[in-house]
Amino acid sequence: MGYRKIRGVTPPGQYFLQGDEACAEGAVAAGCRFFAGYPITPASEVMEHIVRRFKDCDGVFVQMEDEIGSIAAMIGASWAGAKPMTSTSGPGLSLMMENIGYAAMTETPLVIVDIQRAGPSTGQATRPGSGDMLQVKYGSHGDYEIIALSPWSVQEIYDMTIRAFNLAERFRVPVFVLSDEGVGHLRENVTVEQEVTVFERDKAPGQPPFHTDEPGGVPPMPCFGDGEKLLVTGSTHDPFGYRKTQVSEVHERLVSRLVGKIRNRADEIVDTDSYFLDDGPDVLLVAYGITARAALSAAKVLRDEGQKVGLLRLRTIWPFPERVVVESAQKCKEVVVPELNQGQICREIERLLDRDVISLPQTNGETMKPTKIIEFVRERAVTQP
Amino acid sequence: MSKHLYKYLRTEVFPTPFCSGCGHGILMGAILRAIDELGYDMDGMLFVSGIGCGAWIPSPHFAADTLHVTHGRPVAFATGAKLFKPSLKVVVISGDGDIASIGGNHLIHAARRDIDLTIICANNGIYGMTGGQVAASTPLGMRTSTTPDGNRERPFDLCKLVEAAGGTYVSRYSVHQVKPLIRSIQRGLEHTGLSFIEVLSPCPTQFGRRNVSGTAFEMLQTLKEDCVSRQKAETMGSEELKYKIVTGEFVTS
Amino acid sequence: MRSLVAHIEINQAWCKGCQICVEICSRGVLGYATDVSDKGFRPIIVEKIEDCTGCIMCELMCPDLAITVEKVEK
Ligand SMILES: Cc1ncc(C[n+]2csc(CCOP(=O)(O)OP(=O)(O)O)c2C)c(N)n1
Ligand code: SF4
Ligand code: SF4
Ligand SMILES: [Mg+2]
Repeated sequence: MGYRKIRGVTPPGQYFLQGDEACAEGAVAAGCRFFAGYPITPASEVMEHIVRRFKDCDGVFVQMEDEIGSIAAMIGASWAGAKPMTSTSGPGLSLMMENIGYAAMTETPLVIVDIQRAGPSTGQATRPGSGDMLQVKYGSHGDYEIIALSPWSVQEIYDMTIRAFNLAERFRVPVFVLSDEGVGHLRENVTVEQEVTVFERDKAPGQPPFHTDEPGGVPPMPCFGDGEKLLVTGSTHDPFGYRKTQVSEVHERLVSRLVGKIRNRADEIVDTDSYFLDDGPDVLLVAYGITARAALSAAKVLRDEGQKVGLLRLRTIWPFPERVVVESAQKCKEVVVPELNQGQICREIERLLDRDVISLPQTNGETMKPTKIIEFVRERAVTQP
Repeated sequence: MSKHLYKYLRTEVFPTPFCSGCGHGILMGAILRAIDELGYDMDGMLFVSGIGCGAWIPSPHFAADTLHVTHGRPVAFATGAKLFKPSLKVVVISGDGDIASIGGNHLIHAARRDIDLTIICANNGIYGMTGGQVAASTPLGMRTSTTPDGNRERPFDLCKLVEAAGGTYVSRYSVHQVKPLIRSIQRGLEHTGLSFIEVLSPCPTQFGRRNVSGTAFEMLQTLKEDCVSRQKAETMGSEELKYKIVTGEFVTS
Repeated sequence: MRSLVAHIEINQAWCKGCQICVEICSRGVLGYATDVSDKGFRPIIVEKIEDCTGCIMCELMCPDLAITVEKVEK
């Protein structure tokens, strides 16, 4: 149990794929054999592609009556032993919220792909946005933690989807592939390797499925039908799943562990990427998803102009890469956060740094152009010593 | 032979949290007797329930795999478990509010799919757990905490609903008809495809105290007077049937 | 005295005193104790076991799985 290498189901080689398709390929490679979904632009292609791929590997697909049903079916399948996935976008994500909290509370591994579009509400259904950055973390009631990854290319959505499954299984938590229409509908080359590293659940018969002595640890996860007589409930429960809704200490201990198992392992989960940070740039761009591509282009142009600009790219959004952000920002004069919302991640960074952070928001349903960042930095940011 | 049923229970959690005289307890016994008579191994069974008093029938009482989920969604959770692991015998047991109101859409679609689940709806005609509010199955005229002057909305006929949506075993019994109820649960469990069993289950606490002054037994008596068998109903006029509840098997295909 | 048909056991720890069993029995086999239990109701007792037919209706209708009727071996 734990991490091991397996042979992928897709022959190794180069493939020219759409982001949504690569996501589905990554899922199949990671061992996903259950998908429940509901159509929504711009995420439907993930579902359509996985239906095609499941034919070759005996996966189970069901198109549910709505997104509440999709996530519910995934949780049922997960406890029956599946590595389940769904794909959706803003409106569907909103419908899933109650059961996302249920999955967090019951420590059910799930992968939810959110190909973000421009909200709120039905907004601009066909256009990119990054308006769900906080919703995936805070949208369900109560205190809990999830993991969210943010790819910027077709290759990366493939790789990150595999990682999302491994993290979901390793931490027994819902993991989001928090992408956007820009990446979802992009077409690029993807390299598929022969071997894939996957994480297999430790079933540990007889062990308590909701407790471990290790502080903030992740208990093993048994499955239905193995004679374990499992008690799974979203209500406050003891190590064996018995409801203890009137016992303060049980609730406190449970919620603390659910939160702690992610927060305390942030270093194992967090993943970032940086460009031109070695010389301690004046301006630090912090970006993610499709917008990070524009930010990198902008940084290159500005560097050519002699301006000291660097980029920190957030590949993990939740848990938030706090340490890396603080360290990277230390020597910079200005921190600029371009994003396709009204400053959602900018505020998160502001919370960490004891100073003003400059938001470069865009909510017009278009991907951000490098020129916008270039002009903004030239005018607004202090770039000369 | 109640004691013979104790092997199917987590006896350490008993007595149940149900109020004295609650019909859900009678239904719990009927389900266990049906399983016992069929000789099923509980280790191959999964019981899925939502939120409400009815949802507590299996969780945590049954010594089997149980999945106690969000309000209204047990049928959708069950769908995922069954599709991924068809060897599991999956049974949904939950209240009328849970299965037929907030979860009504999942019920309709499970019936349309004719997925191999047994759904047992513990219908007390009210939201018991939350303090007795009107439900989609509250009979006309009944007083609840949100219809103090009597319910003016027509209740759902759940069996007709499931039948129309494509369920392939559909029945309705009251807990006072305990023997036919046990037989029907057995048929539902043995049926391949979607089986739906609506069980009229009195709630003395929230329904009874506002509508019938009497004991749990008197509620059962009232229910007995209100129920007519399908065969009898066929000989009755629509006016006569207006305030009657028809019981029996409606679909056995 | 008639020969006994059945033996009835009541699980007092599970019984909630709803009285359904007492009322359902057409033979008046079950009754109430005179004292009140610490749960606040008069516990159910077997009063006339010799009249019991062993029909098990009380057992089937008990909402708390508290009654066990066993046929007596002849
Ligand atoms: C989404 C949501 N809305 C409301 C509730 C509150 N709630 C808990 S139980 C319940 C009603 C249960 O009624 P029913 O399913 O008929 O079961 P009963 O208690 O009558 O057996 C409600 C509304 C909830 N838990 N979740
Ligand atoms: S409130 Fe009603 S349904 Fe709930 S346990 Fe009490 S009697 Fe039963
Ligand atoms: S078994 Fe039948 S006759 Fe005997 S006490 Fe119970 S209800 Fe009465
Ligand atoms: Mg109810």
